[in-house]
Amino acid sequence: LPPMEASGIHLASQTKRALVHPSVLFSIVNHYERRPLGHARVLGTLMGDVRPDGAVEIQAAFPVPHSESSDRVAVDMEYLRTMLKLAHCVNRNRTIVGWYCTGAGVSEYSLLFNSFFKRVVTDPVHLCVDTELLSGRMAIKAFVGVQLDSSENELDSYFEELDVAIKRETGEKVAVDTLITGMHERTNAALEAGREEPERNVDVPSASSSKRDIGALRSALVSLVDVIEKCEQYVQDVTDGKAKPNREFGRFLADTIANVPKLDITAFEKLFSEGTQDLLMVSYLTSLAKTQIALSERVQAFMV
Amino acid sequence: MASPIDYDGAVRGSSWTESDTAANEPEQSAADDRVTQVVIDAHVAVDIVKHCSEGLPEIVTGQLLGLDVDGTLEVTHAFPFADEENATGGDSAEYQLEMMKCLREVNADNNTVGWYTSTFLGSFLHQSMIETQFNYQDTIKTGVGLIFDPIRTAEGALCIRAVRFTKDFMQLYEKGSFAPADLNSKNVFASNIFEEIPVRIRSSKLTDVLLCTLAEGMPMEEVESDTRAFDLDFNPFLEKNLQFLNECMDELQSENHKYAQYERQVHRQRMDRNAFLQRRRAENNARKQAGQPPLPEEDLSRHPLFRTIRPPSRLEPLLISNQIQRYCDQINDYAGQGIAKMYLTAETQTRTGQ
Repeated sequence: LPPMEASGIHLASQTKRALVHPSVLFSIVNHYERRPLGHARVLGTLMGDVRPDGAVEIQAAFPVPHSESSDRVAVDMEYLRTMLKLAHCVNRNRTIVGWYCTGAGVSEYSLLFNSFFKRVVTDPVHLCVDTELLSGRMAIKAFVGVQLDSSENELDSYFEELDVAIKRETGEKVAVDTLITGMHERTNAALEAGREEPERNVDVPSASSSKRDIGALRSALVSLVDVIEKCEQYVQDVTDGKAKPNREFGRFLADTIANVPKLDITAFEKLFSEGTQDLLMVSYLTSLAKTQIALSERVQAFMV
Repeated sequence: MASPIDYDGAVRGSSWTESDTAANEPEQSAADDRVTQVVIDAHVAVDIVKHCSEGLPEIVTGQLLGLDVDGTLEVTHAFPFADEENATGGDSAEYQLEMMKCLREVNADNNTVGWYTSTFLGSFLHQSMIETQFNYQDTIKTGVGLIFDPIRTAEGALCIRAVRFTKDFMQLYEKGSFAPADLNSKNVFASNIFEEIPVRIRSSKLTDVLLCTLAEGMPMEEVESDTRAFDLDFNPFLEKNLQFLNECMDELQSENHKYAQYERQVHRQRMDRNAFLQRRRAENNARKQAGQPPLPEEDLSRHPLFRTIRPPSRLEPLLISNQIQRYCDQINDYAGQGIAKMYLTAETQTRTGQ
């Protein structure tokens, strides 16, 4: 595979950000959980895209077997090439953009691993996920190797840290939000019951239950109320003199509030009754259709 | 069950089975067919959601890997199927084999347990899907199909369903004939083609930590703001659904028409047959009286009047009825939620009006 070309300019001066999709982090965590006995860290490939503004979007990841001992390291490049070919079959637009490794940060092996990946992509992005929770939380960092200008040797480089942001598309957002809400519920339930460990499983309410839709509406409302309260608090702080006023932000808030539609009572009642009538009618017709079909089936059973 | 942190690859190795050998095990009794719940690992759920959402507006499919433990189907891994046109030489079967081999090297379970597919507003009862699900359920005792609806999920809540065919439907499909008599003998109605299995998502301790990290405070780059849940514009969704519903009704109508035609044909044939036999008898009597030998008994089965007309297959109407039920349920749920939203808005409007 030929190494991927960046946009011609040295990447270190351009790539300041790495945008990570949540599924990448989930699969890294899962890979770490399934690591072979005796391995302290796991390694894998990052797939994605380079955006026109230079930010690297990391969209997917897959694990790669590797081995390390005190004096040498090895990465299974054959496996890497096979997986790249397979990934290409599914999504042609994704290319390899870097590699990931678990651990607290850049280690003495990082340069060596980086050199392996430099064979397939110029300026690979190195994503580092602290699964051992050495700092008490799971730190997610990204680096890119920068060559020291004064030296020809590939290994003479240092790692420059990039800003990491999580990019959530609609579908993933809902999934992750459901998981987060589920986790809060489970932990609260465990605390109330006095249990050490919360339940591992979260119920996904069946698709045909109204509890599901109402639940989504409720959580959206809760987050909206949260945001409004924060804004209110900020405005209060500014008027009390505790916080610095921000002219743009204030104008933005005023515009938002002005956008709330205010209809007079009769117009609104008309809209309301029409809307509810439509919904009720549709609901009635569908129940009728269902009853009709159920009846016809029973009749058919008798007739034959 | 996968233990979170100290994962022992060697112990897992003994429980790996190729999907072929799993199907050939003769000791599996009928009781093994029961699947009481499907437990999906968190990362699998996110992967499936991502793949299906990105694949819009096309329908995408993929394979599920995992283990069946005492009626609980654990899905521990999933990978998407290759697009036919993107596959570089070799077909999708080869892609699957290679993928499973690669996954085995990184300690993922490589036991196929089912497949997943995305659907457009709940319409998934196409012939190809039925066939795929049947093949999976036939070869793997616990084959499960996961249906994911990205459009309804975008409205705010995860919409994943696990379905399997009921045993009666499987037997009927195997035989290949869907005459009305067969349907009755097996008691298969539109409502019991599928059985739905509860789905749960499992997240290990480390995944919980990741969730905390995501929840608390990584800088986010939001693509869309979260206002879909407050949308008061019900019409597009309802219109699309009703349009699908109408099409289904039309199809059902034409199927019923076919069946009515068949009934009329059978009736007419019976009448003609009786008339023919009567004429035969009358002629024979006349001949006996006249002293002539009766007409020879010819082989009546060749006669066009005595050919049995085959009843039309009732598979299509069955599927269509099931699909109609699903659309109706969907519309009902949506309408219910819509009414709740309308009343909420009414509250805010009347409050501000005061």
